[in-house]
Amino acid sequence: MSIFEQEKSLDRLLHSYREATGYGEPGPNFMPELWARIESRRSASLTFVRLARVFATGAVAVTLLAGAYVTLAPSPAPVEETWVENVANHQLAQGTAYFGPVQVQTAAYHLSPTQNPVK
Amino acid sequence: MLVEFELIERARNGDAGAFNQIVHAYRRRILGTISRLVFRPEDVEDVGQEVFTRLYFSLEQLRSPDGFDAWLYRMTVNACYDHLRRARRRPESRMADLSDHQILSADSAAGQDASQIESERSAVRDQVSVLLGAVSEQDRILLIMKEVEGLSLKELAAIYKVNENALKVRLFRARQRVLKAMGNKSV
Repeated sequence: MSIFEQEKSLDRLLHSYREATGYGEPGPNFMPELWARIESRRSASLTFVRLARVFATGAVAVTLLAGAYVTLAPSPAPVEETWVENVANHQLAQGTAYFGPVQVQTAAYHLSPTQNPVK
Repeated sequence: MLVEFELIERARNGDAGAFNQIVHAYRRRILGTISRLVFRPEDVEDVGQEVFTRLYFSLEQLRSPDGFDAWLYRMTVNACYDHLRRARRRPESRMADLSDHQILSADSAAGQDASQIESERSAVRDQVSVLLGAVSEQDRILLIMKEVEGLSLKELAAIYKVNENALKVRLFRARQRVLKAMGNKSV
């Protein structure tokens, strides 16, 4: 079969296919089912909108409360010591100091036993 | 266009009667198109309802009346794509999975198919579905829209939102593949 004949044959076949696949009237439930589907989708989207509104209102309320707290809560006094001093003081207050002020030993401690006034 | 734009305007404003009229005007055409794109006849009305549901919720987005048909076709093609994608993931139902009522309906449908005309039509459908199996799903849908639905290149360009030359090339290649499959079959 030549290419031209094949082309014609394909056109004829597709034309017959169009006739063979025509769709008649839909069933009696087509419209009621269509409206049921529309209604269910509408109610689903309404539920989503309501939920979104609740979340948005909640978010605004939380933001306002947080803003009010930040504005009204007493602010801590400004720190006037360095970080090292601050840590040291904190450790001392807790009684867990790993380092403390340098211990200056008295001169008597270094005296030889002969010079020691205790003996 | 099968309906007046005024009817669409009314449907857009929530007039259920106007929407029913639009569905009534287009349903045979749309269901016919779907039946050619989706090979399972039992799914045609389901996909059709999906198309009209999408139409209902997107009527507000329609800007001009001229584009209504192309717009509805695009919705139809997209719904068919979605259905075919879902169908690929879904396992085929077997006779054992069907209820007694469904088996009886299938038997009665098979009995009706026994008529001469119907058997010829069935042969044509089978032949075309085998030939169109030679091209990809996208090309099959494109070929059907052009060659069977009879849409012009301009209408197809509006549906697919691509330029006509690109469509021409794609259609030509798809048609060549189908012709090759046809040649192989007749050899």
